Amino acid sequence: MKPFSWTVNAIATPIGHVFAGVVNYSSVVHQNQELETEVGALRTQAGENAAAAQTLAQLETLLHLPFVGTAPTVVAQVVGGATTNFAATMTIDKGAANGVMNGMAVVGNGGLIGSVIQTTPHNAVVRLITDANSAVVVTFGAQSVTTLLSGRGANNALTVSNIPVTASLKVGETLVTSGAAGSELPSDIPVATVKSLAIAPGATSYSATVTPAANLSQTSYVDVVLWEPAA
Amino acid sequence: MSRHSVGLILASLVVVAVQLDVLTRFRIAGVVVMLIWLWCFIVGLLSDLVPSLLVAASVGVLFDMHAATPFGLDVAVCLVCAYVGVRLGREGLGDLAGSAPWLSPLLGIAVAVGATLTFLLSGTVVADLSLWSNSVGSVIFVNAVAFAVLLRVATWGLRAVTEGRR
Repeated sequence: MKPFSWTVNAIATPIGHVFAGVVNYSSVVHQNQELETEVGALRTQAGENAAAAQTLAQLETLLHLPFVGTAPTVVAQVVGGATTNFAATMTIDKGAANGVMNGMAVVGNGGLIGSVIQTTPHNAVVRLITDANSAVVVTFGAQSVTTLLSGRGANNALTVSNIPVTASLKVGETLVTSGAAGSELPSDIPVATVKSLAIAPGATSYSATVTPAANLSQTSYVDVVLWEPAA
Repeated sequence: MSRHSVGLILASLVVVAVQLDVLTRFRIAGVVVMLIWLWCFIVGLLSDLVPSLLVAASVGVLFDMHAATPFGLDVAVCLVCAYVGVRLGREGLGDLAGSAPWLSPLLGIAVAVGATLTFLLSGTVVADLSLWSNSVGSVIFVNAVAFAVLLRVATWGLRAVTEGRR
């Protein structure tokens, strides 16, 4: 009986499936649409979760900035980029009402991002360290050699020039804010990492090309350091 | 106020809003397409001197209020673009639809180069030499390509808004 039963089943089952499919076609289509909607919703939710995780990671990073020290900070969200090709700036959603003032340091993503150049009650414009008008007094090495780091416009590497040949600077070394008297920025904030050195034979000084310590292109949240230089 | 003027003002406000809120986010190779410069040129091409300069000044002021570059540079560029547009319009170049196909891309490229250089020279006049950065070449290139593509479309758009025809 078994071979017979198997043969009948082998023939009858597909036919049964075909009939079942014809009879239940509309409900299958409906069920398929529901499943597609559900998959779409789950994909959206997964995307939202990934974005939320990224935001959380950035905010957690801001909570553990060792170089800020005890200076009070305000977390701000980046709400806009530069409006023109000739200035590297960003707009944040905190302003004078939150204690943000011109000249204050803006940090995040591993180092100095820039400084505040313009405030309104609820917004502020930050000049990035890559801006051609940006100049930061930095220091490096055991001898705390102080020099000036200049921006060269958005998308361009920064430069440090007039480094005395007696000062030893190595590729990969980190430059930090000097916090020297008169400086608008607090000390020891990582600013940039040395990428390459350019030394001419017989010169008394040399220059370096450096890259920002902070990732300036992937910044959604920043910390404004509410620090003012001593009068 | 004529339909032409009302359409011109409203369209210009929309262009400034698009420039500030849309184009600054959608950069091409890190470069912002300066639609307001092209717009002022087109307004000059299709309008009389006084309304063109008024629109150019307004667009420039509105934009400069939101830019971190010295105030007035974009006003100067917009005024120059509008003035050159008016002069070329008087020479009969406003009818781009009926002109040779190469004319509008050529004009677009010329506007991009001229406007960028005007901006840099204006910056030099106010002693801001930092504008001459390494990215000037890419700014000119990207804007030249964009203007070459957009000039005819934007001209058609302005005609449609101010004259109510399609």
